[in-house]
Amino acid sequence: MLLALRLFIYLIVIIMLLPIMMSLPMALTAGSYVTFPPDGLSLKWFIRMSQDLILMETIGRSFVLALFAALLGVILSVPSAFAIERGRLAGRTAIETLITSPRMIPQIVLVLALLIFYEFIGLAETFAGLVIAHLLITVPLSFRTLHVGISSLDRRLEWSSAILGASRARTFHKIIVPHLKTFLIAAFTFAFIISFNNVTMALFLSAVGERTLPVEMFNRMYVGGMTPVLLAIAFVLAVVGAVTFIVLDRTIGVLKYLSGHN
Amino acid sequence: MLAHEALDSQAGLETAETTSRRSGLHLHGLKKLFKEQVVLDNLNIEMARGELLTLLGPSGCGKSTTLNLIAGFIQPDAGRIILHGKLANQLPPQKRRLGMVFQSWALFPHMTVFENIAYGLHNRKLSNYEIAGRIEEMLRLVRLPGTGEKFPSQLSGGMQQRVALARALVTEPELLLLDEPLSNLDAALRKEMEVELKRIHNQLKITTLLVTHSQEEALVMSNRVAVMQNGRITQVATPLEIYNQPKTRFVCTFLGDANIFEGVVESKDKGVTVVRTNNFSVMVADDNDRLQTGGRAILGLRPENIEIDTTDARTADNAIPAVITDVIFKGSNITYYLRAGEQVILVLTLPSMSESPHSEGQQVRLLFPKSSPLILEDDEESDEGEDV
Amino acid sequence: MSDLSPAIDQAATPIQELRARPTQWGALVAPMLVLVFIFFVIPILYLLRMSFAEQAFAKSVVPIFGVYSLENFAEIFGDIFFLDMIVNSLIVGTGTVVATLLISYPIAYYLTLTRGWERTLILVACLLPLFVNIIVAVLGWYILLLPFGVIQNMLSALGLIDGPLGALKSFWALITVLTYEHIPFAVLILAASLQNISPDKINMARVLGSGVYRTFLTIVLPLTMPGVVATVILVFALSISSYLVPALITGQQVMVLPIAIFSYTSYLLNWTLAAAISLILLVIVAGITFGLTILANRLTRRGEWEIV
Repeated sequence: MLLALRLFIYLIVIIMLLPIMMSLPMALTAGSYVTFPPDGLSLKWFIRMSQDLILMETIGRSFVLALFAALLGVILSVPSAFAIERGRLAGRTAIETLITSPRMIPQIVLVLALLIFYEFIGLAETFAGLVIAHLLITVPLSFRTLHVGISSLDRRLEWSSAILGASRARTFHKIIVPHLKTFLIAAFTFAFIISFNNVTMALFLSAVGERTLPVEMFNRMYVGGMTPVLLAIAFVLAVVGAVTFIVLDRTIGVLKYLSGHN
Repeated sequence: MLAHEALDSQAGLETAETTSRRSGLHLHGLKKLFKEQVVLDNLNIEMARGELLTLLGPSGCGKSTTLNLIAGFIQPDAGRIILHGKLANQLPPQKRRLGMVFQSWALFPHMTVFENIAYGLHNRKLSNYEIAGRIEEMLRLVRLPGTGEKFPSQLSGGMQQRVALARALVTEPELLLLDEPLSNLDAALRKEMEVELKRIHNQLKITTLLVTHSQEEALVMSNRVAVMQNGRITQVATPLEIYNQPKTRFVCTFLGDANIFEGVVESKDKGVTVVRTNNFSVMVADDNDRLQTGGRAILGLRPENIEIDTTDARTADNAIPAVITDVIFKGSNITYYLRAGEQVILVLTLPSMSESPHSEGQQVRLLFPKSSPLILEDDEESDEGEDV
Repeated sequence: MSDLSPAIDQAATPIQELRARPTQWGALVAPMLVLVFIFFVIPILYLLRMSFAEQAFAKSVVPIFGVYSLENFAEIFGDIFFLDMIVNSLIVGTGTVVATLLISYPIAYYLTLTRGWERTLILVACLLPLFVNIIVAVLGWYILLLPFGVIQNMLSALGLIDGPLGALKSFWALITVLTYEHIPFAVLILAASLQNISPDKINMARVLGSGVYRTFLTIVLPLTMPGVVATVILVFALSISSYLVPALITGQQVMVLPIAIFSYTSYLLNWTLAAAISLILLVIVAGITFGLTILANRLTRRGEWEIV
């Protein structure tokens, strides 16, 4: 019985890893089409990818977008998380619910609402509009991460610091920030990857000439079908994802954090 | 199981089976290792039918492991577990027909008290009427009538514990296993439940194995007490015997307070032996000739067996001069800490209506007869464990 | 003693200050609230307004106090095409949920049994789709499921079929990829839920005579029911809201609500209708959420007891 279970689990593990791992061998094909097994091995598609200016531009755009969204998100989340945790505000749960509510409705509904609203106020097809949209869906996660970080601060350390004569700024700098460092990195990374990987919002809200990477890939796939260049990019994205996983595991032990072992 | 042990046990098996028809539980040569460490070492237990045997020992001595082996949650590395006269090693827990109460009680929170207790009756082919009747009987036995429709989270700790007990008993198991069932209760409730458990045991006469680290529970509830240490059984006896005739220093100090005197045997004369410690000499009756002249001796002396003499007039076999360092009034008794040279001695007395307690700094004599000191073995020297 | 008093005074001030001014704290969280209010609450409300408006061309402003009309919904519920779509979405959602549960529950259970590198391996494999772009997974599955693709070649080599596999068996392909995307969520929730059951309870059920199946049905399943319900709600909501996967994997052969929303927004420019379809999607998600929660609580009598 247990043996059957084990076999099943390992089968699933292989199936889970397969689609992601497929991209590399296929992208190394020397031929012109996507075939399995690949037609010889060559790096030419990766070179093709780096020579594709439009593609490179979209990678850059995605990167900058994610950077902005993550940074702004953290800047907004830190004081908010402090306020929720430390201030005696009325309706704290209501505020938390409001902040996390954009993630509670289907993303496609949210993006449609934003699109229509943006038309109204002139933010349609702008970079700023996209940043705001990504803020809405990343802030709930960075907020929650920072909230956990702040509520795990030992107040007595701060009080000791104050009693020993440190000013508030100094206490913040020397006691609070070091503790929060890992949570800040985690919150930033979470927000970054969610923004970087996001397709739905970018699809609706970006201007035709200013696509993000996933949108560019989607369009090429939709119009031209599968090509090895796409797979080369897919491999790059897979690596980005894996690295993010590692970073998050090293900072907040995401494997444990997400499983709720804390 | 090793080959020669298998051959051995063939021979032993017959005797084991005949004797265990008389008892519900027989453990033979049980061994268990966790990651190279020996947790249980050649454990042998045979219970008499209807008795309440307590496995008493400190944390880590292997008593919970023993219960888990009997229940079937883990497998022994060697040895046989014989339940109801049959070899049970290969039997899964659900087929062993045991009753068990965990330290955490493990009540099913999503079921009512009734459903919890009825859980074990599912394969007995009883009618709903019969089941309801049995449940009611059980609830009356544990003194919780009318609580059938409540959920465990609506009950107090003491009540939950009794539901756990009722659930274990309703299937009328031949062997009841109790794993520190009173540890989660507060002190007052614990005392009450010790008496309750004893009453229920006397009424049902069910063979029960109790595991605990509480010496009080062991003494109050048991027919026999087996003291366990490092995976072995050091001594097994009735509560009275194990208190008054402990075999080793460990048993003596684990059950009740004790003063331990270590010294060398100075002389022996017609059953009266003198042991010289660093601070004084003790006269002890050694009828069984357990001490040899020149050899080491470890003596235990219960605090309640020492008298304090402030006059200088009384005589006794032993009269040790000492000075009182602390007086601790505990209400029903007074504990005195005294010093005789380097040795600290405890004396327990009942408060007197007429006299006031002795005071700190007072020079007194400690009196006790030669029959009072207990001759103890050192822990490492004891045998390869005793058989229960 | 007097040396200490300045320090104590200074210590008193930060703590006092911290306690004294909720308005200052309010100022810290205000930007966030403003952002959410302006860019979430208002747009959603406007979307709701739009769904109840007469069909107007895209980009025209619908006044809040203008005409309210059920025109959009009439069109949706009057047309078999839309009704088909709603049914498709429900089927896709249900199918994904069932497949995800059937795969994720055993994984979550197995995770309670292992430790060390095996556990890490399984967790990494199951959680990776969360961090790797969905497009990568879609591309990967596309290759696997493609006519002349990997699976095609394997099955041919094994002599099981000859000729192309036909269309991507669109419906099943869709469910497969959606399940793949959502296994991470399910495994996380279910693993946490299973982890919370004390092994004592399981052992107790065994001592009381229950075999593996009875223990699962009477103890494990009821106690993990909140986790199961949360998983069902989450996976259902996410899978019926997915646009990317149906678009790429089925080439729009399986018509689900998000595809219609996209079409009416970007190509057909009928924003009021798109808004109405969105509202229906929203209602379905909300309905499932509330309905299942209440149902599950009823079934397990969850209002009356707590974990002990």
